[in-house]
Amino acid sequence: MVVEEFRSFSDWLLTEGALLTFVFVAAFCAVTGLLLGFLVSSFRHGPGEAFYAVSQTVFQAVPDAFGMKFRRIWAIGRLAMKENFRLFLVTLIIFVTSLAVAGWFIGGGGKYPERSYVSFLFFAAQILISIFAVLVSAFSLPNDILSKTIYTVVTKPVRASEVVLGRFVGFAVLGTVLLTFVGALSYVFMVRGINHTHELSEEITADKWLPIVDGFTPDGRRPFDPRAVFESTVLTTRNNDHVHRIAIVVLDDGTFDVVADETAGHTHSVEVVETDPETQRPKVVSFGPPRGNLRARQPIYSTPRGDLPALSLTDENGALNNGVNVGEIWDYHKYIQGGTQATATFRFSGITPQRFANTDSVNVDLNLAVFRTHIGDLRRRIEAEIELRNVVDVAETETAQVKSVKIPFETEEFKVQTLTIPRKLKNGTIRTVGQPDQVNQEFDFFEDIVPNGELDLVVRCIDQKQYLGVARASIYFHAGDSSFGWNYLRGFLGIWAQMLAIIALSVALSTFLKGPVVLIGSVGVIVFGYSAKFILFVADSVIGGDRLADVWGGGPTEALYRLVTQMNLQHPLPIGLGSDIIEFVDAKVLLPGMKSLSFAVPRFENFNLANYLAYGYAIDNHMLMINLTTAFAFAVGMLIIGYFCFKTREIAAA
Amino acid sequence: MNFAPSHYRKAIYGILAAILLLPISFLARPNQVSKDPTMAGEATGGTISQMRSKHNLSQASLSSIDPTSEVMKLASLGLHGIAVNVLWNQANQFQEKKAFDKVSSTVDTLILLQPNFVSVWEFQGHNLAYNISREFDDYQDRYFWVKEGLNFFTKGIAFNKRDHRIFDNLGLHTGLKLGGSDEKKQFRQMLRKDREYVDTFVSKFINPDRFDKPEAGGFDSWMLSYWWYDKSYHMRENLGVPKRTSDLMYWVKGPQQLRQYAEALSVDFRPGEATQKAWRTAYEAWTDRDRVGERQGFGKRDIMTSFGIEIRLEDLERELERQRAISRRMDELVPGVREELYQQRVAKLSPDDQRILKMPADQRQFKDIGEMVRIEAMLLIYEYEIAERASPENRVAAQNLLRELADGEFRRNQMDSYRYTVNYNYWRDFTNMESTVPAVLARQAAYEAAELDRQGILESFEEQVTDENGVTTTVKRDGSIDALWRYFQHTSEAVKPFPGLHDGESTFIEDLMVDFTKFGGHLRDVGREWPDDFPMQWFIDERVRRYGRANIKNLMTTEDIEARKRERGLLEEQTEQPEQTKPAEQTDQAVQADQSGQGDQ
Repeated sequence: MVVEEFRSFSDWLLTEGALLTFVFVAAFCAVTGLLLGFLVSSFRHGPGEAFYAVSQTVFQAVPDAFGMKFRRIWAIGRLAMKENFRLFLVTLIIFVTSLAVAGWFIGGGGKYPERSYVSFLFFAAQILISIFAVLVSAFSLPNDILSKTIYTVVTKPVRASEVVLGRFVGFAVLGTVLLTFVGALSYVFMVRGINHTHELSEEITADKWLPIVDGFTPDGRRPFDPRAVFESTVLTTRNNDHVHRIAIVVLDDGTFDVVADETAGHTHSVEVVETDPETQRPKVVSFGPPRGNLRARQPIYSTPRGDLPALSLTDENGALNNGVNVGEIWDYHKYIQGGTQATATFRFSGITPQRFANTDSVNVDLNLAVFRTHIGDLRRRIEAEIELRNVVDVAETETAQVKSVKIPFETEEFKVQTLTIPRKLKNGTIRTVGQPDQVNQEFDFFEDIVPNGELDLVVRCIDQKQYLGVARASIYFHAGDSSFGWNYLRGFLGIWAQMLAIIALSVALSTFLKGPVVLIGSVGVIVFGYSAKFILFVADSVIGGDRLADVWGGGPTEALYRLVTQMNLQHPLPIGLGSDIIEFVDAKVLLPGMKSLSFAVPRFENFNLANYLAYGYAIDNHMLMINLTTAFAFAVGMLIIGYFCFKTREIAAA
Repeated sequence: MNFAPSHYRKAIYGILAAILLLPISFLARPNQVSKDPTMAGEATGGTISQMRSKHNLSQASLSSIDPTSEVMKLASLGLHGIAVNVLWNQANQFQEKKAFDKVSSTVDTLILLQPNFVSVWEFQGHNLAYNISREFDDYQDRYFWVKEGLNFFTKGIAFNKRDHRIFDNLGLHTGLKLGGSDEKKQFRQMLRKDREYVDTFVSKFINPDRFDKPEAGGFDSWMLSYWWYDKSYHMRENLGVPKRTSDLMYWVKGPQQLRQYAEALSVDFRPGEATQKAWRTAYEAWTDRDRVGERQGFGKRDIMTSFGIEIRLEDLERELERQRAISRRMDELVPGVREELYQQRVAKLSPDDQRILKMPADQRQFKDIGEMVRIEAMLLIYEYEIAERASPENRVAAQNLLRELADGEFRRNQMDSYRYTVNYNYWRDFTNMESTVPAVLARQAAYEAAELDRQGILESFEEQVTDENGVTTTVKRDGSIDALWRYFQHTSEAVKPFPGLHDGESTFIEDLMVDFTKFGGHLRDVGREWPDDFPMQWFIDERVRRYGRANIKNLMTTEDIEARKRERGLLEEQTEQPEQTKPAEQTDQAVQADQSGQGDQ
C-alpha cells in the first residue's frame, strides 16, 4: 500500500500543532463570538445593557453545562429519533437498492476485486451517511421553530444546552444505528460477492501436467510457485471473472502438494480427489473458499533513530543522497542504481519476538519498484538483496561486532512480495574493526541480529544499470494478521467520526439558520473540508507569488473571470487595473481567508480509511485516533457554538 | 371551494403542459414494426424517430442498449459530462500513482457513461495494452495487461455495432503488441497455448480453429490479428458500415498480417513447406487474391484516393503500357518527331554527358548514375511538343491523345504515390521472392546458423555417430560459417530475379549487410580471410557501383579481392627472389599486406 505520511498521534497533537490550532481556533471563536454578541446586543439594547446580556449569557453557560441531565437529553434525543425514523428507513432502502445494482459495476474482475468492493462500499457509505446526517439535522430544529412546536419544548424546564445536545445525541444514535446496518449489509455484500470456489475445467490427464524445465514451462511461463515441478495446462473454471492455475510443488520435507496460484488477490486450498494410478499425479482436485484476499496485515515500518532518518539512501559511490529520479511524475519511489555501492537503509526499532505471531521465522514484506535502463534478460526479474544488520552503540564502534546476513531475491513489482526469514540464519558475517571478517556464521535472528530490538535493513540492486525504487513503506516487517472483520469495523469508525462532525455542524447551523440554508451551508462546509488540501495548495502557490510554477488559473476570482471569458488557463491575464484587482482580491483577501478557514474544518477525505482495508492492512491506530479526536473536537466546538446561538435566539421572533 | 389565484395559475400551467405534450408525442413517436412486408425496414415513427433512424443516431442503431450503461447515465441526473471529466481525472491520477487496478475499474465505469464514443475505447484500450503493461517488470504481468487492453476492446464491440474501428484496434493491438514488442517471443509463446483466453474472450467473435496453426505451434497472434481485421472487413463489405479511415490504410492491414505471419513463422521455426505456403499466401493477398479471407487482394482492391478517383495499385503496369501505346499512336500521327527532338537534345549535351549517356547502364558508376538523373531530365520530351508538330489534319487526333495521356498520367501518379505510401513494390517482390524454394532454403540455412551461433559452433567439425547396428561412422557437421555460406548461396539465387530488392535501402538489405558483417566476423574469429568466391560478391559490387564505397562499410569488393591476389603474387615473386629486396622492407610489406587484408574484411 502507498503510505505517503507516517503520523503518530502525539506528533500530530503536539509537534504538528493540532492542539495549538484547536486552542487558537477556539479562542478566536470565543473572542469573535463575544464581540459579535456584544455588537448585536448593543444595537438592540445599548452598550451597557449589552455588557450585562453578554455576561449573563456567558455565566449562564456554566449551570447549563453542569446542570444537564441525561434523562432530559435522552428524552429530546428520542423525540429527534422518532421524528426522523422515516428518513432513516428511506436511507436504508436506498442503500439496499444501491447494493442491488452495485454488482453491475463492481464485478469480480480485475486483479484485486476486493479493492473495488471496499472502495465502492466505503465511498457509498460515506456519501449516504453524510447526506443522511445533513438532512436529518438540518431541518429538524428550523422546522420545529417554524411550526412553533419548539414551544412545547422550551416552555418545559429544559436547558438550551440540553435541547442542542439532545438533538445531537438523537441524530447521532439514529445515524449510528443506520451506520451499523449499512456496515453489516455491506460486509455481507462484499463477502458474498468475493466468496466463490472453482472446479477443474476438465480432468487433468497425464499429458496435461507439463514439467518445469530450466525454471520454465514449455509454453514459456515462469511457474507461479518456485517450488513447482509440474504445472497443469488445465485451468479452473472461470468464476468471478478469473481462473487459477495449479501446480505440483515439492515441500521442504520432500513430499508433494498441489497448490493453486494467486489470481485476483487470492488463492484457494486444493484437495486431491482422484489420482492417476499410473503417474500418481492428481487427476481430479477440488477447491476450497478463497484465501488471502480479506486480510489485515500488521506492518512494522522503519522509524527514525535519533538524528538518523527512517530511510536513507546512498549513491553509486556510497555517499548519502536522495536517490535517483528516473523521470516519473510521481516521486514517491526513490531509485538506487544496481551493481554499484548505492543502497537504501531502513532503520527498524521494536523488533521483538513478542510482536510476531510466529517466532520460528519472520516475514519481511516488500513493495519495490523497478526501472530498467536496458531490456536485459526479459525472462528474468531484476535481482536485489537485503542485508540484515544489527545496530551497535556508536560509543562501542571500535570493539563491537557487526553481524550481518545477506538474502538475495528476485523482485516482484506492484505486489506485496514476502520474504520469509528463518530464525536460524546461515552464511552470516561478523565484522569487527581491525580484524578479518568471520564468515559462514550462524545467527539467531532475535538474539544476534536484533538483541536490542533495533535493526538496519540494507537493500541493494544487483543487476547493473538497472534501478530499484524504494519508499519508507516499501519494506516492513510483517508481524502477523489481525481479524479483517475487526479491521472493517474500525474502518467504519472513521465514517462514524465524520458523521458526528457533520451532525454537530448541521445542528449548530440549524440553531440560527433556516433549513434550506443549513443544508447549503453544511454541504458547503463538507465540500470545503474535502477540498481543504487543494485550497491550501492553491493558496500557498498564489499567495507565494510563484503561482505559475505550481497552479494554473490562479485563485477563485481569477478562475471565475477565466470561466466567464472562456480564457485559457495558460494565457496571462490582460495587463490593467482589472487584473490587478483580481490578483489583489485573490492573493490578499480570499485565499488567506480560505486558508485560515481550512484549519478550522476537518479534512473529510481523511475519514475514509478504505485504502487500508482495500490493500489488506490493519488500520493504523494513530490514524484512527487522529480521526476520532478531530471529529470530537470539531463536534464539541460546533455544539458550543450551537448552544450560544440557540441561547441568544429569540424563538418567538421566528 | 374558494380557488386562490395561484391555483388558477397552476391549473393553466398543467393544461399548457398537456397541450405541449401532443406535438412532442407526435414528433417523437417511436418506430413501429410494420406488419406490411412492403414497409419492412422503413421508418414509420414520428419525425424525430425518422430522422434518428435516417442518420443512425438512435441508441438502438448504434448498439444494443446496455442497462448498466443506461442506469449510470440516468443516475448522474444529466450531469454525466461532469462525471466523465471527474472519472478521466481520477483515472489519470491513479495511473500517475501506479494504482493500475483502480485505473482499470475507473475506466470500466467511465466507459459506461460514453459507450458509443469510439475514441474513448481506442484511447483507454491502448492505454491498458501499451502504457500500463509496460509499467510492469515481469513479462507475464505485461501479458496480463495486454490482454486486459484487448478484452477492453472486445467489450466495446457490442456498444458500437456500426463502427469498424473497434475491430481495427483489436487487430492492431493483437498484431503489433503481441507480435511486435520487445517481449514478442514470450507473448507469442504464451498465446499459443492460452486456450482459456481464446475460449473466453475471442471465440465469441472468431472461430479459434482459424488461427490455431499447427505449423505455428498453436494460436498465432498475427493470424488472430488478421481475423480481427477480417471482422472489420466483413462489416464494411457486407453490412454497409461507413468507413472511418482511408481506403489505402484500411485495406492494407489484412495482407500485412498475413505477411507478418509468414515472417514470424520463418524466424520462430525452422522454415519449410508451411513457411513457403505462408509467403505465397501473403504474396497473393498483397497482389491478386486473399485466399484466407476469400476476398480481393490488396493490389486489386478499388481504392478511393484523396482526389476522388478510384484506383487499383496492381493496375499501374497496365496503365504504363496504355500510356506507351498512346505514345506510339502519337508517333504514328507525328512520325519521326520524337527521334528528331531527342537527337537535337543529345547534340546539346556536353561531351562528358554524352559519354555517360552512351555508357551501358550496368557499367555506370555511382557518380555517373547521379549525373544520369540530370541528363535524363534534359532529354525528357513532353508529348505536347510532339502534338504541336502534328499536321493540321492530325492535330485534333493528337490533341485527343494528349488529353488521354494527361488523364492517364494523373492516374499513374496517384497509383505511384499510393504504392509508395505502402511500399507496395517492395513487399510484392519480397513476398514473391520469399515464397520461392531458394528463399526457403536460405531461411533454413539462416535458422541453422543462428542455432549454431547460439551454441558457439563456428566451424564444421566431425562427429562419431553409431547407428542402430552398432556401426560407427564419422559424420561432418556444419558450423555457423558453413550454414551462412549456404544461406548466401540460396539468397543469391533467390534475390537475383528481383532487381527491386537489391535497389535502394530496405530492411532486407540492412539485414543482409548485418549478415555479411557477421560472416566476416566469424571468419576473422577462426583466422580465415574473406573468400575469393563469396556467393553474393556480385551484390556487394553492385552496391558499390550504384551507391559508392561507403555503402558497404568494411566489406570487400571484387576489386579488393583482386588487389589482394595481386599482392600475394608480388609477395610470392619477392620470396622467390630474396636477394633483390632488403629484409627490412620485405617485412614491412608483409605487415602492410596483412593489415590491409584485415582492414578490408
